[in-house]
Amino acid sequence: MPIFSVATRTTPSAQVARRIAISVAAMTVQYWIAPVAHSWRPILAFSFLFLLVSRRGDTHPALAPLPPLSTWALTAFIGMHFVLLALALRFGRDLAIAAEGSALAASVLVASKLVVLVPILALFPARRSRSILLPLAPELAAATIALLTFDPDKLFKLIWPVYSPAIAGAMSFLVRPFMSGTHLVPGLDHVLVVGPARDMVLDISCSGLKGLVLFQILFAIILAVEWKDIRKLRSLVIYAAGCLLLLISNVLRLAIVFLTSNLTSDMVNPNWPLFILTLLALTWFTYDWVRAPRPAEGEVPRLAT
Amino acid sequence: MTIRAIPAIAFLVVSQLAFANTPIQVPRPSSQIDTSLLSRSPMANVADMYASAWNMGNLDNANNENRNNPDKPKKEDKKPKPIHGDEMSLGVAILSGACVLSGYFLISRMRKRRRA
Repeated sequence: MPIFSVATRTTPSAQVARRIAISVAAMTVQYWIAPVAHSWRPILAFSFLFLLVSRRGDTHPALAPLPPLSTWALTAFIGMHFVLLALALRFGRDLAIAAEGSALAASVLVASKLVVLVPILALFPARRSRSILLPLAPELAAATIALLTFDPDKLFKLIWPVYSPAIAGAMSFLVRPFMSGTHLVPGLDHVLVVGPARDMVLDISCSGLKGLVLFQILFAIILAVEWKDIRKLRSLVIYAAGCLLLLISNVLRLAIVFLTSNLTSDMVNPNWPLFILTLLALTWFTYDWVRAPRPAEGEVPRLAT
Repeated sequence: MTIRAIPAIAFLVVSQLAFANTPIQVPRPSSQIDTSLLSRSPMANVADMYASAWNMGNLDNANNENRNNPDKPKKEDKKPKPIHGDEMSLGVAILSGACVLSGYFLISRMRKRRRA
């Protein structure tokens, strides 16, 4: 049995997946032509949605078959993309420059980057929106979470003035039993942790963001492979727990770096062992909890929630 | 199950030791490497490593004491440059990700067999 396969027959899931793929292609072209006014995040989120819908299979609640794609629908879809592209080419650069100094222009720019998701509505019949949206609710929720939470670099930069003293405080709390006299000196964009032999600069590169992004990529891969067989709500809990655990393990990593550089002649940065151990421990303890129960003999497989 | 887990653990440890960005440093200057170690028992070599590490620790303590001594010259009081707690490089991130995925699918396979 192949470890990963996408729907190839003309099932309702495959029909929906094909229309999502068309939208991904259009968004990619638009991003390629006018990158200033667009973002790669909607492309990524829709690609993820495509994978999840393709992997969904014929589980219950079933999707109703879609009518063939009409010429009118396709024309409306392409027309909307052309209008958005024209607006992006005309105003995108001005908006990007204005966004540097104006919160209103920045908001308009962010909104314009999400408007690119609208034309896909033309590919689905409006009268059947309920029968499409309800069965696809878990997939749509997962794609929305991916859109909003993947690679939160801007969020980290925004909260860094508050977050950096918090991780520095937690780190100094961990190292204080081993080294007395450790104290913090706040800087403009960093915190200096003063140790007896060596100091440590905590700037944005120590935030734990890289580990978090790597976890998000791995979680998305595993989710796409196992989508049919996992409980959706529980996987959301594990996603949140994984993000939190990685941020905690980052504090532990910083404490080990600080301790080893002060107590020994060599600095040890246990980034990879801590990352691997944290995620494998999470998998080990939650694997059975997140798996859906196997359907009984003759029972229709339901979409696990 | 324990026997099945051994290859996974071995793979994780070996691959990480082979490809990690932090080199393993033996606490001994190269000029002092003694070829007679090769003929000694492994336990004797381990004991020797611990002894040299202990000596380095003592030297560090002595340096710290010197640093705290106000009679010593000011040059020794100067702290080295502050360190950065940077995260993984791209190469290490890719390898760590590969290890986590391998570990995940191994655990998945073990649990599925146990269920069946």
